This record gives sequence, C-alpha cells and structure tokens, in this order.
Amino acid sequence: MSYKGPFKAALPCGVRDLFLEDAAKLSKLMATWRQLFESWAYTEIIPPTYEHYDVLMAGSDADFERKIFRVLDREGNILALRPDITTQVARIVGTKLHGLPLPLRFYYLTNVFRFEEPQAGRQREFYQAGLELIGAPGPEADAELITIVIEALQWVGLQGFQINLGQMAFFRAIVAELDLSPAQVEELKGAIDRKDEVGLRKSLREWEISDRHATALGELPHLCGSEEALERAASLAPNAGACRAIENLSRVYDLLSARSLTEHLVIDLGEARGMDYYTGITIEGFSPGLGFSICNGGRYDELIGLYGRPLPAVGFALGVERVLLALEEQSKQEVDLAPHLLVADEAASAGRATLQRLRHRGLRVEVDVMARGEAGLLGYARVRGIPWVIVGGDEARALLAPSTGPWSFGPGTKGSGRCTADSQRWVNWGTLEEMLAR
Amino acid sequence: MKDSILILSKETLSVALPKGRLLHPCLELFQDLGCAGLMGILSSRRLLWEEPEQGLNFMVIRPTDVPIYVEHGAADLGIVGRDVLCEEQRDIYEPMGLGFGRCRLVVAGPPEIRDENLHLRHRLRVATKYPRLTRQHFLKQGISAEVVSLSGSVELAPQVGLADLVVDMVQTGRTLRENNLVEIDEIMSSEACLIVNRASHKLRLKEINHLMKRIADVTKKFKAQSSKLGGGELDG
Repeated sequence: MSYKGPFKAALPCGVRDLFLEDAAKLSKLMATWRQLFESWAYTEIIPPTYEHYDVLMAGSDADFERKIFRVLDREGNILALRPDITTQVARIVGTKLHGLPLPLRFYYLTNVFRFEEPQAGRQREFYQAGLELIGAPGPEADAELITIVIEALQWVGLQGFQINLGQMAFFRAIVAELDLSPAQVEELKGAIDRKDEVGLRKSLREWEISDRHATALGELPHLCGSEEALERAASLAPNAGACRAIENLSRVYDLLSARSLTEHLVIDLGEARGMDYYTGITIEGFSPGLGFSICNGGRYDELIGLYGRPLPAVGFALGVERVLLALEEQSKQEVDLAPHLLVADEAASAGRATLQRLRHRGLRVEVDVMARGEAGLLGYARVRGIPWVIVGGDEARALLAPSTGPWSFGPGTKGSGRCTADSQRWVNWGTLEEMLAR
Repeated sequence: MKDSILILSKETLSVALPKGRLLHPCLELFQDLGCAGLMGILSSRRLLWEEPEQGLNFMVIRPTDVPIYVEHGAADLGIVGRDVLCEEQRDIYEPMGLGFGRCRLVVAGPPEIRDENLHLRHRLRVATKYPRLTRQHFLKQGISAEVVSLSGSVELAPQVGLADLVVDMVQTGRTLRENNLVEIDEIMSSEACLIVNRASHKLRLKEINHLMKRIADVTKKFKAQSSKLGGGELDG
C-alpha cells in the first residue's frame, strides 16, 4: 500500500529510483565488469557529471545535440550533462595526458543523460559500462576490445548474444571519392540506415554515380554474414581506401577467429549510423528477445585530435539496464539480499569476535535492534528469508534456531509458528562458525 | 504454395498489420504467401492470430501503433503507410515499399482560399491527423500555422469553423469533393511499406530475408496492377 501523506512522490520524466533487488542487480553487474576490466589492465576514469556545453559538443552532429540536457549556471554559462563518456575521455586525453606511455587503457562505470523519449531499457538517465583503448591504431586493439565485450557478456551469463562488426571506413572511403554535398551524404546514410535499397539505388542513379561506386553502395544494406560477406565486400571495393578498410576488418575477424570467438560475430557493413565520430570498425551487440542493441562502440581516430594531439582510439559501452533486461529475458541474474544470520542483541555482544569473522568471510549478519523476543525474532527471520537465528547466548555458546521448518507447534500457540525448544540447540561459537562458513 | 515461410526456424516471426484501409490488401498478400485462414481476422475479434504452419503470428492494431510495436520488438515486422512512418519517425528498418495503398498527403481548403497569399493571413489554422508533418510543411514556408490535431473526420473542420485548411490523405479525392474542399498543395505520396525491427533483422537475418524475398515476388503483381489502374479504388 502506498503512503498517501502530504509528501510529494512525483518524479520528472526519465529518471527512476533503484532500490532492493534492482539496485543490487545493477551493482552486481557493474562489480563483475569492474573485475573483468581490471583483469585486462584497464584503470578507472571518472569524468565530471557536467561540463561546458561547447567543449562537450566539439565532435557531435546536430541530431545528437538535440538530446543534450543543457543547464545554465548563475553566471550564464551553458553547461551540459554528459550524454556519453567517450567525448569526455577524448577531452581529458587530448588536453591533459601528454607524455604518458601508450597505449592508455581506461574503463568507466557510470550514469549518462540523454533528452529523449524514455524507451524500453533506457530512461533519460542510464548507466554505461565502457572501455577506451587509446594510442593503438591497429586491428590488435580492435580485437582486444571485441574480446572483452564478448567476455563481459559471458561473465554475466548471457547466452545467444550476437556482436555485429561494421566498418565505417568502407563507406567513408567510397563517399570521399564522390563529389557529393553533405545533404546528399546524409540522404545516402538515411537510405542505408532504413535498409531502403530501392531508394538508395534510385538516388545513386539520379546522381549518376559511377558503376563501381554505385554497385558497392547499393549492396551495402545487405553486406551481412561471415567470411563470405568480407570476400564480397573486398571484391566490391572501388578504391584503395575501401580495400584497406576491408583488409582491416578481415584482420580483426581473423584475430577473433584464432580465439574461437566467431560464433558470436556477424560481419555487418550495412550500417552507416552510430556516432558521427566513428572512423573505423563499429560494434553493436544484440540479444535474443530484445528489440534494441545492448552495446555499441567503434574506432574513433579523429575525436581526440579535436582537443589536442591526435591519437587513434577505440572503445565501447555496454548499456547496463539493457543487459539486465536481456538477462531477465533469460531468467538470469538472481540476487539474494537476505542476511544469512539474525542475532539477538545480547547474544551479538557475547559472540562479537565470531560474528566479525563470519562477516569477513562474506556472510551477511544482521543484529536485532528492535528488542524482539524469541518469537518476534523467528517471525521476522521467516518474513525476511533469513535461514538461521541466534535467539540467545553467552560467552561460550549460542542458542541457534532454524527459522524454517520442520515445525512442531506448542499448545495454545494457534499456529503462530512458534518454534519449540527441541528444534533449537546450544552450540559453541567455534562450532557455529564452522557450520555457517560452509 | 506449400513451402513454409519459416522452414529455417522453429520460432515464429510476429507481424503487425494496420487496421483500416490497408488491412485487406495486407491479408491478401499473406494469403498469397500461404496463410490460408488469414481472412478469418476480418470476422474475428481476436487480437492475435497464429499461422503455425507458416511460422507467423499476426496482430492487428491501429496504423499509428504499428511502428511503435516494431520499434520495441513486440512485433518483428509490420506493414504501414509511409505517411505514418514519416509522421512517427521511429528507429526501424524500412526495406521496401509494397506497391499497394497508394495515396497522397495534401493540403486542402475551401475553393476561395486557393489563390490567397497565406503569408498575409495573421492567423492560419490547419486541422490534421499528421501534426508533425503539417507543422514542418508550413514552417518550411515561414508560416507558423496553428495545428489542430484531430483523430478523424478532418474534412469537417473547415465547414464548422474549426480550421482554415486541412492536411489529410487522399486517394481519389472524393471525400474532398463531397465536403467542398479543393487540393492546394501536395506534401508527400505514400504507399504501404514493410518495416522491420533492427534487432530482429540482425538476429534472424536469414528468415527475414527469405520472407522479404517472397513478399517482393508477390507484390510485383500488385505493382503491375496498380500501375495499370493508376491507383486504388478506395477513398481515404
């Protein structure tokens, strides 16, 4: 029952409260990924929540700018709540981190803000877990990132997921050779993004694009698959830049194939979307039963240069809430918040050293602070799902009772579930520790 | 037509179909693809229809809801008019036009307004079911029109003083004529389009490509017919 008091419960659109299981699930996922990222020698980066709007917007397109939360401070400066972390990392690296040995490896686990309609799996404030690998231009770096994406999804138990690998440089190299206006390039991108092959071919005909380029662009929406898609793309490449782009993607694919990771991979050159700052490979992850992507990323070799010395870089971000939805879809990601042990206050004082050791071993030990009697303790433990209760004790021993059956009810208790003395027993604190630590 | 659309998978694909004037041609299309009992939808109140042999599920919903179902992945595919797609602006694939349900989105008004310079009006009210496209169309000309967003019977609005103009779909123009309205400008032409959820397209590429190929084969027929007839016979 909700409380109908005078207090205000309203939330602004796009944010939500996380507590109990939801908060625990999100934290658990992030803790798992923190461990994974650190095991690959990435270190955490924590940029500020808001920055100067014009600084943050250096590399982005008009479409993305509309999604930024803007705030005025009291001096009239326009600030922006960060819409993604990659741009912030680019700013930090470009302006500050000079003279460090390359590559730089950073990870982040944090919230970002985008002003868009709240969608399935994404509010206006949402969480991202991501990596940036900076200073390494080659396919080895791309392959490392993709390997970690796959491991990140494997570590949390997600099954049947798929990672689509694209190559923005292929499209860019073809278009660079054509004399197209920015509006025409946008129209091409739009048709490719909609997989509108008819519209795409019509535009290419109208603009009298040469056969080789038109064939390559016209086939883009359907250049999907495994090695055969790579071979087809290589045969379509109309210039050296496009060839290099496909060679690079093939090399990444081979590296991942040598690690037996190709079961999760699909070559997908049919996307011209994504952040405008992508210049090379792109990554997009999907999970069965979920109508939207769960992670995105790619190579961005020109972004850091907008802030300082140019450096090649590649990164990805996992949508934390979306991965949680994907796991939910597969009934994974259970969390148990119930304490392992409930202890009456005076027994907790007597057995303090033992309880401390149990906590060190990772057990959740709750001490009663409500002055409950024996029946009260057992009733509370049952409701909370706490399996064991210490209802009393002295320096030497604890009186231990299971909170759940088998039950024998004493006379006159009218099924109140009161534990009889025979299911309780006195145990030494040492024995108790051995028993519960198992 | 014995071969199943989805011989490739045991899982079904779900298809969202729009209520209204596009429903009948959509049902004919899938009937041609082997969904024998599908016309039963017309006399049924069930919202979900299964064709297990073809590996397809159908849901019949309001046209404006079709892109929403598909974007969220509640349906893998859908059929809806291009007018609705342009109005709704959803993040979905629109791989092909189907050649039926052709019509045009036009600006119309009483005959006396046709030769008027709309820029000189201090106030212009436009009634429509397409508020986004309407606003965009007039703003492009520098006119801040008041858009009156209605959900049907738009042609009534100028006759009762609710609006000066209407923006609506026309097929033959009969509704306009009978309500004493004339066409002033064309905003876009439309036809039924196939739309696909992005993730479904990625995860079930083979099945969806197979289905799309078969749809393309059947709709060639529609396209040939409609170019002969020069449009549909229904009025929008």
